[in-house]
Amino acid sequence: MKKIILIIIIFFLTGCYDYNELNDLEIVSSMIVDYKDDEYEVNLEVINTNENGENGSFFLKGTGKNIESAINNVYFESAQTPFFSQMKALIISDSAAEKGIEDFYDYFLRSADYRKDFYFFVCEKVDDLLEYKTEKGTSIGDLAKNNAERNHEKNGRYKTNNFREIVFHYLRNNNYLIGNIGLDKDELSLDDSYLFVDGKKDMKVERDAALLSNLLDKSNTSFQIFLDNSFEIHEYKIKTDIKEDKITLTLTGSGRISNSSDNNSLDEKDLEKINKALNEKIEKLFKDVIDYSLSMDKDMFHFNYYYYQHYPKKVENDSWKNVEYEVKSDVKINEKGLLLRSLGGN
Amino acid sequence: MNTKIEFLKLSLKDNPDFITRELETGTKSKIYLAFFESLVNSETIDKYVVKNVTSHLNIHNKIKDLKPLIGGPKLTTIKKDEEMFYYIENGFTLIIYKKECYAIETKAELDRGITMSQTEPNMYGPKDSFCENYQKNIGVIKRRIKNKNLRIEAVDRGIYTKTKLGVIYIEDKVNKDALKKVKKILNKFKDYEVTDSHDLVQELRTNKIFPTILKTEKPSMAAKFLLKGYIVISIDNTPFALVIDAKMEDFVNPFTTDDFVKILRFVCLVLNILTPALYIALINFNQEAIPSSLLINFSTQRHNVPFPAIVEAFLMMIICELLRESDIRFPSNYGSSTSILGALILGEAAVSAGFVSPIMIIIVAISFVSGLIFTDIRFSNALRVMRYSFLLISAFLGLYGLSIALITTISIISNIKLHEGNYL
Amino acid sequence: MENRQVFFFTRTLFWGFGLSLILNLSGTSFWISEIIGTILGLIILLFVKKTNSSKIVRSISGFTIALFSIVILVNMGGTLYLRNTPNWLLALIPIIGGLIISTSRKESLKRTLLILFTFAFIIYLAGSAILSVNAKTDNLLPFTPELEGIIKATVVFIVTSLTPVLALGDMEDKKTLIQYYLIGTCTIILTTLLAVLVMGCKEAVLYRYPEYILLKRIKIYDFFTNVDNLFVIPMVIDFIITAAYGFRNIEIFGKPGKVLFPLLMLIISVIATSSSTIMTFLYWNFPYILIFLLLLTLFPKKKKYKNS
Repeated sequence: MKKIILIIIIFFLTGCYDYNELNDLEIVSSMIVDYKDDEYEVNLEVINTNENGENGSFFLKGTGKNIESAINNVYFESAQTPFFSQMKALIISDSAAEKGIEDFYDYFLRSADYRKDFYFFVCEKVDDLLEYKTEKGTSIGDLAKNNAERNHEKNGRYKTNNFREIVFHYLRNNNYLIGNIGLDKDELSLDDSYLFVDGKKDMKVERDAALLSNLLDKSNTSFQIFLDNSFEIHEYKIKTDIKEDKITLTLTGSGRISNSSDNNSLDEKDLEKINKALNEKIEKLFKDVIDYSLSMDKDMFHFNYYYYQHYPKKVENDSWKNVEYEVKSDVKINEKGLLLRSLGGN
Repeated sequence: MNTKIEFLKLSLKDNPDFITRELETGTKSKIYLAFFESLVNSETIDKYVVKNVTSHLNIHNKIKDLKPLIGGPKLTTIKKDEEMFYYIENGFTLIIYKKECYAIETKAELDRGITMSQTEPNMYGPKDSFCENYQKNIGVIKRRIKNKNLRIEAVDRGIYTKTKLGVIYIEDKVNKDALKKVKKILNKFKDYEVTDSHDLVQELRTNKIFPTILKTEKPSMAAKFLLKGYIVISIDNTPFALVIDAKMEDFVNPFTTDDFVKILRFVCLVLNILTPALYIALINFNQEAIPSSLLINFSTQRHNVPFPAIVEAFLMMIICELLRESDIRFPSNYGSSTSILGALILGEAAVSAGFVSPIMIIIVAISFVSGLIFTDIRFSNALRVMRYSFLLISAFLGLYGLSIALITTISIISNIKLHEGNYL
Repeated sequence: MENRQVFFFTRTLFWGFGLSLILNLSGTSFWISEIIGTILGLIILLFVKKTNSSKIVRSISGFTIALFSIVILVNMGGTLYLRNTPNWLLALIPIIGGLIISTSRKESLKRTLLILFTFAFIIYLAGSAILSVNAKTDNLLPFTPELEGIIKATVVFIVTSLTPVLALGDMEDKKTLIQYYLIGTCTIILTTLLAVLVMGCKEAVLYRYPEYILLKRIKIYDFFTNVDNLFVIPMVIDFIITAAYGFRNIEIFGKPGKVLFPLLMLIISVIATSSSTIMTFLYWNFPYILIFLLLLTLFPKKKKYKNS
């Protein structure tokens, strides 16, 4: 009996330390970082939980010399504590991207408040984004994250990384891609990807290069190739064979015709011809992209790291340039869709 | 005058229902009948004694031997004077003739007979239940187990009540050590009064929070437990039989052998205990585990509620306990206005007044509805203790304290001692 | 007498200390040191017949192992989950829980362990199955074995998995002892493998608690995310059961000891977790303490020579 009384008394003497009432939290959906006049300006997008509000979210601002003090100074404007574990996107302005984002890594990794799967975006005109009014129930972070994920899965010609992958690349001295976000006639749109070298924004990257980068990271489920006939390739596999002086990429998979403009019946012989043309086109496409990366002198697809994995003692910073590249494609078309004969063309 | 009848009349003179009657025998000595009118069926006295004696007198003019004249199945000869009180208080009729004293059983039907069970309804199965008559209860059990190994030991308890107890077991299946311990305890408390099964439960149980004795109203259940090797005690004047040393699975799963229903009942047990505690731990300490759209939904619902979540939870659960307690005791003839009142309070008014949030009502409703599966009230009380203590611990320490509390309760429950065997 | 508790003993000291130390020492060739460690540990278990059973040695070993497990639990809980709660409250709860469990009888402990073992095993397997979808075999690749690192990591593995088993386990039933020891070490090997395959070796080495950060990656579509606090329950079960068995082994000082030792453990654990110098010292040097304990338990009892 005495034991029970002791235990109960101890509980009542403690008080609640880590108890956060749900009404006292501001749920942050995205963070917009800008660099002006030698100071970081951080805008937190907070979701509106008031039933009578018009918009889905509102912004809180804080400024400081580095990002930690800027986030701390948001308290001057907020009535409640910000809650970061549901944060979905981090949007950086051009000026902050040119200064470099390597200062952010330690702060976000060390703190247990942040979950590490928020996406990074670059934005040219941050002020327009700050005046964008969202509908009730959505927020910029939500829209951006969903858009980026759909793009990765289905389209493939746009690439952005989340924080976990950026740290992964940083630890291996790789370059990585961060996508762009902007406003196109009052709607959010994601169109281009930029290459970041040493944490700073470097150059814009072609759409096909983004496609190859997506394929190598295996974030697509399917992608489409456009020729005279268009194809959708699903269930693909990319293998990288790395030897001391040659790197080969082999792409295997199965494809489906999505548009056939020839006036033929798609027999076996015709299919073989179309198949061959498709494979040649894919090889040319990716070889051009790799040549483009070689000509720009920037390692967009972290081939240097693949080389390091197999030959850890012989690797140097330039090893990826002195290697021959070859692309092989072995895609088989085995589905034609609903039609027996093709209808298009003339 | 007969000394015995004088002695009886003196001792029982303050009882207005004590009746004596004289019958002529044609000689000097008379036959005296003594009985309690409230306990006795007067037709049987007529049938067994009076008619036989008067018809014998009509044929022969004298009565020499009384014993062959008395009809009826149960006839005992009483030798000591003190035994007379025992028989007459149990509904027997005393026949006193010269120096002999006989007793015949003439009990009145003072019970409601074998009816349908009210606390344990059964869809497919026998619907008869125990009643308040000890012999009928034993008879109903004996109808189901027709083996010579079924033993019944009768014990009389108490000085004032002299209640009859029957310890029933099957000889080759029962655990002998448990039987010895049970008999020892019953012997120790031989002079204590027993009016209801509750008194016996207090003596024979081994834990104060968790019930170790199962009460059942149905003889089919009692027969099932007997066949598994348990001891069953049947008490006079109570329509319940006690099953000694019941384990936890007998409380959770008394009826079925269907696998799906067993899993469902186990899931309901877990839901009953853990739902409010898990909700409080997730909402207040671990908000990131909830998907973001749901979290925004909760936040919007709780916007205008003035209380913190724990206080809300406690308020709602106490209101539900009040409702349930009043529902059990209130006579059903007064109508269903109490349930309408409860539904109105909980459903409409509290939410629209901004008193509680709708999600809290759902959580408490899940917890209560899954607790209605367990019909034994003492088991529900034990679950209630666990539910409130988990809620308290998770309110202070979140999932850390909740997981440690779960582990310690599992070890505490499995440490409960039965007379023989384990509880869990 | 089944030795199911040995499964929990082999895993306790890896969480928080052993696993990240092994990854630090041996890099991507950790699997060599772990596999060799299990084989050597198995051989040692097969050859040991009797451990030192004097009261002082059992009490010391029980006390230190229980202290370790509570220190790790408080540290993990205090940095990852409840950051503002004072350390004495975080330490008091498992000590009370361990005390309550340690006063149970043997048969009831058997049934508790059966339930807890199935529960922990199922949750662990479910978590590992969900995580294995994200595994990339490339992460094992820059394979640069160094002999010195592998040897050190093997010694650390043997010592952290064997010491609680020999100090707290029941040596009479050897067959089940070896069986559960093997299952425990296999789960540890699987966890380190998953940690490196999913996160990569360089990143796993960065973190203080890689096994917890690994659990943060469990995700099914977009709905069932961030549930690491539910999948951490097998680790909590390990800590509490080890603490309970450690308490059972303390036999000196009789009845006042039952109040004295928990208080002492509370004070020491609060001091240790509040100072980061002690925690870093423990992190790099805890194998030496465990080697000392291991030698204590294996060293035979001195025979008293009777005067003839």
